Amino acid sequence: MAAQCFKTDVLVVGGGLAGFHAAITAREAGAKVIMVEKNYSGTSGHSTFARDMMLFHEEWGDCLQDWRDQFIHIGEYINDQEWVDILLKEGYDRFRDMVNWGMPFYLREPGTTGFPGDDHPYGNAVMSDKIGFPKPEEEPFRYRHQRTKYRKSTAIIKFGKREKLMDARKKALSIGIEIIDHVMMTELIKRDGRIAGAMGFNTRDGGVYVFECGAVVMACGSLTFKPAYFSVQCNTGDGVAMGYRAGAELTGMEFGTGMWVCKDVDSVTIDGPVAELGLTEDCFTNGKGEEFLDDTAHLPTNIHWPLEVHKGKGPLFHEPYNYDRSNFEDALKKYDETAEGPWLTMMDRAGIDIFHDRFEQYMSFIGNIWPGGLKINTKCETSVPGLYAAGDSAGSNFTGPTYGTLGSGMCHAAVTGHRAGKFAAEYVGERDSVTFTQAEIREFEQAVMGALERGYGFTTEHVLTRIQQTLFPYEVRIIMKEDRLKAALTMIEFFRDHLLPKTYASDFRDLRNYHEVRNMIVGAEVMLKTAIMRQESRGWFFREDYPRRDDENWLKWIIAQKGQDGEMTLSTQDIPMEWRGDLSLPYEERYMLQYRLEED
Amino acid sequence: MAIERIDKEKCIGCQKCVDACIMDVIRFDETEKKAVIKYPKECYCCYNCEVGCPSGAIYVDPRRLRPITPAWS
Ligand SMILES: Cc1cc2nc3c(=O)[nH]c(=O)nc-3n(C[C@H](O)[C@H](O)[C@H](O)COP(=O)(O)OP(=O)(O)OC[C@H]3O[C@@H](n4cnc5c(N)ncnc54)[C@H](O)[C@@H]3O)c2cc1C
Ligand code: SF4
Ligand code: SF4
Repeated sequence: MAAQCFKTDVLVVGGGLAGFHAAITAREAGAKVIMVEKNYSGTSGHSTFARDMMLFHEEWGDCLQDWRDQFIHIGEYINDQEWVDILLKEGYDRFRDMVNWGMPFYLREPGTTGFPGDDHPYGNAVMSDKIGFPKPEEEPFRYRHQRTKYRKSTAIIKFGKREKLMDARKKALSIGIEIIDHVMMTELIKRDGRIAGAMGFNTRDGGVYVFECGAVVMACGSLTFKPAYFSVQCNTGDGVAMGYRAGAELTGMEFGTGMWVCKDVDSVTIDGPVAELGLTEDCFTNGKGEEFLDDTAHLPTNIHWPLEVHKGKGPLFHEPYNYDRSNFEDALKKYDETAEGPWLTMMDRAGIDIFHDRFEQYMSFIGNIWPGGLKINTKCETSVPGLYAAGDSAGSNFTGPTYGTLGSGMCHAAVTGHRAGKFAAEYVGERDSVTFTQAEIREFEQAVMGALERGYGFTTEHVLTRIQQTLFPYEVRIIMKEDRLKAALTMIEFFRDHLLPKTYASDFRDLRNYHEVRNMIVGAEVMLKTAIMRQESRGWFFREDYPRRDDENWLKWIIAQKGQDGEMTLSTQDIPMEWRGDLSLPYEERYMLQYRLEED
Repeated sequence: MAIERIDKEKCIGCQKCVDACIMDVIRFDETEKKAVIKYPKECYCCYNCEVGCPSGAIYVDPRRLRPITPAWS
């Protein structure tokens, strides 16, 4: 089948929240915009599963300095504070954009404070009954729920429905954005050192798509390795890998994310019961039946708990308090309608009663969801001219090594999406687009479809399984150590050099798997090399061989880039002096207090 | 396990699930005008299809077909 060619000013890759903000902003600035999505723009992406968004607004009494301090404490001085300020200051305008597109939010009930707080019996899921479109300046329902000293400032608003992106889709179509669904982008095309286009294919009919464009906004989400957990598996670091191959700098890639899952139903996240319903009397025990939360002061639970297992005291259990389930039915129904997965239904179907049954849990390594990606400046420009990045594909370093500020992923997606769309539209205004020759297009077809024509060799399923077996055991990416990171890297390099060139795709759907494992291998290599380089621990980044924060040597960001010879080059960039906090404070005060529950 | 069934009697052929699946598991049978499970091994139990189906035709079991290496056991 001959490739189909499209010409546009701005090509937006990925139809999540970041992609929609970018596309709509660029279109409203006068650019011709095409959005391409591997699935269906409107029901895909992590954005579909997210419930809430951080929202700061001074008029509602929020204190900028308090919110900023929370980010910095949780980010352990690795945040880009310029981006933190931008997110806080511009989130409100993006919220108003979404209301204007027709996205509903939870409204504040008359007579409530807006912050029911910890004393509310049912936690986060059920504090307002009304969904609608807040008027300008009307404060919607907002919620705060972190209780430690440094985690109580920021607040979130709640999206009114799960299919919120469908409203963005309607808006995008109404202003003349062309949306192409079920097309997976595989490669960027450069001419004269700048972006000239991109290529991909339709996962249903195998058609090759070639785009000639002035700028690309990479908004195709984060890097996951299709882990245990749910809903994250559509994103496999495609944007990061495409950008890397095109020569763009990556940053924040050494940091990773783990999530707690129920062992027997490992597609269920177990933060739901405690955080969402407020089952605060439930507790966690180790293999000996002991509660072990008392001495978590110096480490985040994401590290402290796996360490318990590392010491040989596993496995870990969730112990129910025996709450009366009937008190929660309403809350659960609402949760199912508006949020992530219907996890209570899921647990019920697996025969586990979360209110009464003890169940085993473990930490699943997901990949790099929030912290890292294509390094961007405040215009969302990457280091490749014409390539912009937004949302989880972008490395703004706003969060640092820990994701602790609720709702900041969606706020970041909206704010970076808007900026990327705005500056990409400005950029394309100044230049003519390129036209590819027939010979070039035939080369692109080969690059996209090659693995399908091969017909024999290793299966994509095998490569995926080998990647997962290499990265998922806790001792590789959760409790890290140089020798184990190097061993994992050796395997990933073997997959890159030996397995991948001999891997084939069995049909068009499997060709998607092929490109996904190819991208995951790039992501894994960057992630492991940068993790080996960072010889310290910070936030969720824990090195057994360097268990303490090293302020003298590691108040730095790591930057990875493909060198001229194709080998990866690594460098560091110092965190500005004024962002390093009070270095004279004792270690305990500077770092540990944030993990301690506030005295009642 | 994973997406287990799409009830042909209940399915009204709206194709919502065919679009909503984030892993491209479900396809549309043009002759029967019904949604069909084509790649069950790719299903990661996100429930996007079941939650969005207007006629309650889909049943997803929360345990995947494809085992994933656990962090510890
Ligand atoms: C279960 C879950 C719950 C969450 N809850 C919250 C929350 O409550 N609040 C919050 O702030 N944050 C939350 N987050 C984080 C938040 O969802 C993300 O930070 C945010 O959605 C990122 O938006 P995005 O547009 O960058 O990426 P996404 O929404 O993931 O969109 C990326 C899109 O790109 C597409 N794509 C990927 N690769 C390609 C390719 N090669 N070609 C074409 N298209 C491609 C994908 O299919 C996807 O649709 C949650 C995340 C998860 C996984
Ligand atoms: S969403 Fe439900 S009714 Fe519509 S095609 Fe799918 S199974 Fe059939
Ligand atoms: S549960 Fe999710 S991954 Fe599985 S078939 Fe349904 S939409 Fe697709």
